[in-house]
Amino acid sequence: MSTPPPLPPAPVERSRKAGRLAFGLLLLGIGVGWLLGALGVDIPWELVLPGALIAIGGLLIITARSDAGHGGLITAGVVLTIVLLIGTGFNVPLAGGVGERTVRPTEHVIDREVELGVGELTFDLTGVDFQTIVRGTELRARVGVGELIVIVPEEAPIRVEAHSGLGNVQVFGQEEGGVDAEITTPAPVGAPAITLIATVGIGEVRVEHG
Amino acid sequence: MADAHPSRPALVTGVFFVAAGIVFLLEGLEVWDVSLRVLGPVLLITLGVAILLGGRTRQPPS
Repeated sequence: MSTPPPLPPAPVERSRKAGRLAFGLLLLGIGVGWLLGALGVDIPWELVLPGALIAIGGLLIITARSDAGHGGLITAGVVLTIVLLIGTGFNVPLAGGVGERTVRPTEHVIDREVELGVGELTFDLTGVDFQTIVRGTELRARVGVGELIVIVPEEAPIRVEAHSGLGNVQVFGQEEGGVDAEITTPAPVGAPAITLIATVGIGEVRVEHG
Repeated sequence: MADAHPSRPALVTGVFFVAAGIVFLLEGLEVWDVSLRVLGPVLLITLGVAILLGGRTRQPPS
């Protein structure tokens, strides 16, 4: 008696396989991008991740007529939505790096924009000759989650805009805390308008004289 | 064989993800700057609508 040929997989099983495949491909894509980022390749995560979320939504709509197997896609979509929500809502740079970082611009080399994803960033402006900076220049420092310390020389003609999505802000002795905490200080009268924009998504911003 | 009626939860979450992805993409392209004050309530409203729409497919217990 011959053995009957194996039956083709049921639609539910096929659909589950498709969901797992999509979820696996998503993880693979994020992993490869992350690795390339770690190797110094600039990945525009703020565009790649929303693109992946749109692709997941599209796949869900296309496969909505199948019986099951949407769990993997929905899980991936929820995770991506949470990551993007934190990144956008709290202004967290998604590719800013992790750890401790100190940036000390000099008279000749000025970093106008510094950022860190997670950790402690110190932006020390005491070596900068503010008289050589063009009027209207904006200096930006941003930390996603953690602490941002900006040290400004006493005589610097600078206007400060400091903001924390959730946490504490201290600027030259003034202090605010909570959700969307913000302190803005005017530039000294008659001084050229140079603006320092210091932002933390979740954590503390401290701007102090050095 | 595929079901003739599409899964409403899959459709609703799919549309939600596409819409959310477009919002995040526009924010990433700096077309607009989304504040948490706006984004939080909008997402809560959308989530509430999604749960309400998804719940309509549930069958009453026999």
